[in-house]
Amino acid sequence: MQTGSPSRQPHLKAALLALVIAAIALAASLLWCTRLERRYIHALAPEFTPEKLQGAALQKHAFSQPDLLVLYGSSELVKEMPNNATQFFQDYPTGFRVFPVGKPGTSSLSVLQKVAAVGDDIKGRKVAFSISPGWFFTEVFAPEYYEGNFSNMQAFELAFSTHLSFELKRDVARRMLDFPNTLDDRALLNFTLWRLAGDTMVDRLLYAGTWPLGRIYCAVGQMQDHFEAALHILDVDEKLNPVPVRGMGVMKWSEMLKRAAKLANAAATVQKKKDEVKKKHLPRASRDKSLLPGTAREWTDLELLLRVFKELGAEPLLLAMPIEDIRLEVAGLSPLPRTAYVQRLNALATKYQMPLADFREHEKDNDFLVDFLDHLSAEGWMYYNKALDDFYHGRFTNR
Amino acid sequence: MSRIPLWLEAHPHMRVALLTLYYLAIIAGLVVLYGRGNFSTPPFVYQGF
Repeated sequence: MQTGSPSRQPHLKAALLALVIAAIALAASLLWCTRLERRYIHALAPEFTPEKLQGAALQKHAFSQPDLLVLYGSSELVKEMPNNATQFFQDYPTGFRVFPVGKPGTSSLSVLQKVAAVGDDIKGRKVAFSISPGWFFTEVFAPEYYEGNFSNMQAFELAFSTHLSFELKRDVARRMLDFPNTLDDRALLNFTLWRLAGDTMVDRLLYAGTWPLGRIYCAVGQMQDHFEAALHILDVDEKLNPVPVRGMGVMKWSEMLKRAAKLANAAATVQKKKDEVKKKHLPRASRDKSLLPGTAREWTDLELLLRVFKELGAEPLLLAMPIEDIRLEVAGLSPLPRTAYVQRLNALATKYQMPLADFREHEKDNDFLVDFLDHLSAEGWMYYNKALDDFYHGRFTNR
Repeated sequence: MSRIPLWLEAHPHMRVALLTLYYLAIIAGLVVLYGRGNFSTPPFVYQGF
């Protein structure tokens, strides 16, 4: 009897062979994806696609490039405005280009998950974070904003991170559980976050039990991330490698005129802002009480983000938009909450030894922001750009 | 017995090769079905603060 001979076990032999071939093909594909990402990472800098914002592969590549400066932020990054950092540094005027990451509603809790997913690729790298004051004057912001920025892949990377302490993951998990909609149909993530948040001996044991499965999920997520990034690059390949066509195109004048009109409107914004002051003026005392920034959950999230930066060994620059006098006027606020906000921001920056540009000297400048929704004007962007340039070249000093 | 199983019985290496292709097709199917990541997020209207 020949039991156990290869000819008697063709299925086992074939299955093993298929697995080996598949593993080799997978490794080769990943290598190809990584090369493609590295080749196009500079061209992808101005984009705000889901592959860039919700994944981690492209952000990791950006951190590996010495001539890219990653800037995390929210809607101000996306809003079309002359002099915005993406546009201003497009041609590497001083040797680097800005790699913006963020979209409307990207608050500190979303940013910290992106940073955690990048992991130790951020170690020793410069990174900038733009802080929107609006987040700190709302106790609890609309969950839709967090949900609209949520990434399953990034959340898994945080929950099963090998670079962050258990205590930090526990504190972040407690905040993430405040948004149960993001955990629907994600049983393992939900279970893991509850174990992290619970932090009893049993919870820690159960967390350790989920660890192997969690790491498998992370590995699958990382592979999907590479494939999605590569597929996206192939999709927009022509755009990333533009071939100049001379005299063959037709100018899209209507689009260009609309854009020009939009930008011209931005210049007349201050008058619009003043009009809004007249419309919205409210009794000062009634607003001060409810808008004191001490109660906003964003403080917790910002501190968690700073802890993530610290534990990962990043070198961040914090950029905080000023709260202009005109904004206080429209909200019917005294300067007291603003002073409290700036002081607390400075205290946090000092605690974590991170440079902060708070632009306080521009509080009387009504042109720094283009509206009351934390969007920088063309002028505001120039101050941001100067701070980014100084920071990149090691000239930044706290102001 | 039909001729194909007989032929496969007579050519064990071809049998293994065909089975390998069969398993590779299954793996490829699984990759196509579940391999793509989902980075879409629910839409929302941003109204600022």
